[in-house]
Amino acid sequence: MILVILRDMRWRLAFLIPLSALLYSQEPAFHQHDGFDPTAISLGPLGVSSTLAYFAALSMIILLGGFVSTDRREGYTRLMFSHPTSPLAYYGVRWGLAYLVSFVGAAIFLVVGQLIAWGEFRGGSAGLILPALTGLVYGGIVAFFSVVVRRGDGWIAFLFFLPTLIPQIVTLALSTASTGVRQAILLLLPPLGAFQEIWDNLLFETFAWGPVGFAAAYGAVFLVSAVALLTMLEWP
Amino acid sequence: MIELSEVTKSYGWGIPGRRQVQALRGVTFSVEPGSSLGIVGLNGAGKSTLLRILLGYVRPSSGEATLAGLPPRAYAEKFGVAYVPERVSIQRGWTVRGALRAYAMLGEIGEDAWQRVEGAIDRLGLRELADRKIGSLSKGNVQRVGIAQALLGERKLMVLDEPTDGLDPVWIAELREVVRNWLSADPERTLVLASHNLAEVERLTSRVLLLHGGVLEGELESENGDEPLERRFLSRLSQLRGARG
Repeated sequence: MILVILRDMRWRLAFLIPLSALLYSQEPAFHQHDGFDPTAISLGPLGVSSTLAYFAALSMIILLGGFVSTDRREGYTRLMFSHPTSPLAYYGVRWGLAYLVSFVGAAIFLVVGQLIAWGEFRGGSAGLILPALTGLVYGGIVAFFSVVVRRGDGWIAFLFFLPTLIPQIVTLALSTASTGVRQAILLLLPPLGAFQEIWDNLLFETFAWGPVGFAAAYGAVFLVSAVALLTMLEWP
Repeated sequence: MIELSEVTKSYGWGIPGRRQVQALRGVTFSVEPGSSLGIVGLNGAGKSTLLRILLGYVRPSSGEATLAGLPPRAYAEKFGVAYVPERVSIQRGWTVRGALRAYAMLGEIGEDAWQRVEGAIDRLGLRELADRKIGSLSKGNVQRVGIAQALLGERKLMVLDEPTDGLDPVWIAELREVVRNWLSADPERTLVLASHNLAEVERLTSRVLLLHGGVLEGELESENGDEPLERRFLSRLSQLRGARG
């Protein structure tokens, strides 16, 4: 089953290479010679963890976009699941592989990025908590929408990701909303505040258990909902 | 092997403003292991829904369906079903051989999986197309790949939904042989075939059920033993239409 999934994902896996190159080019700490962001440079290797978080989130969206919805929409499931294969096991393994790839990819990015930029590995592995969490959060979101909608789940997950890159979007969109509506929407959106708090604490070499738990629970709710819906689905 | 008891299937969930469609109504029948069953009926009679229930792809709204004592989905996940759907859909970027290998891997077929794949390629005359992408094949050739994948595993149940759709007369005859050989290889093997091709249903199955408007209208038995299925089918259909005004 794993070989089938890896073969099916090969082009998506290849796409992670240009993604890594793009994120490397945008990480200020890897461009000390430019000297354009002394703050980022002063943060050291842990400062890179926010880029690792972007990598993991985007990897999950790229690797999983349409992973259930396309199979259902195109009717591929008719033949696949007539063989002794459980849909839950198949898509569960696919999700798990994507998560593994995104996390291992982030770890490789951390090491290789430092070796290329600085010529040595200076550490920062504690920062891998962020890609572990963003992988869960965005992987949960894309899994949920892939089960729920017929198409476009990857784009929906990317919309959820946009405020991570441009937080002003949320501020602008909610500027006219009442307090109650604003709070409800903020609760639905990915836990950017928790990510920020985790990152801030990492820089002071402390661990923010509360925000970690909140972010993990947020991703888990989407993922568990996707699993529950998947077991209830009827197949075309 | 197959037990259906008062199976009903409705689509539409009864949402206000959305018409609820009752695809099957109180369908009850059983099929013994080692036998072959044909299901015939007009378009929209509920044949495909019935077969999808046998695969566990849809659940009955009420009633019960079991395969070898298991819920259909549990049976399919444990033993697999040699299934050819009405519309064979395979990833367009896969090659014929690649697709069959993927299905073999999903089916956990064993050490001789590659041999089985090559055997199925030969049996369905796909050797010259083996490295072609599915997206470049005609409908009939994709149908043959669909039939080939159904032959990969050691299954006890074969479910065919309009398997001759898109096949030319030569391959319709070949399919008949393929199915007969599959059945004769193991006395426990069971076939369920739904088709508009009544001649094929008659040739391949020993018992034929008529579905009409989601209702099982019984078997199409021949009174004198040699009345063609088509005549029996049309005659019963006109009786039903007359009875319903």
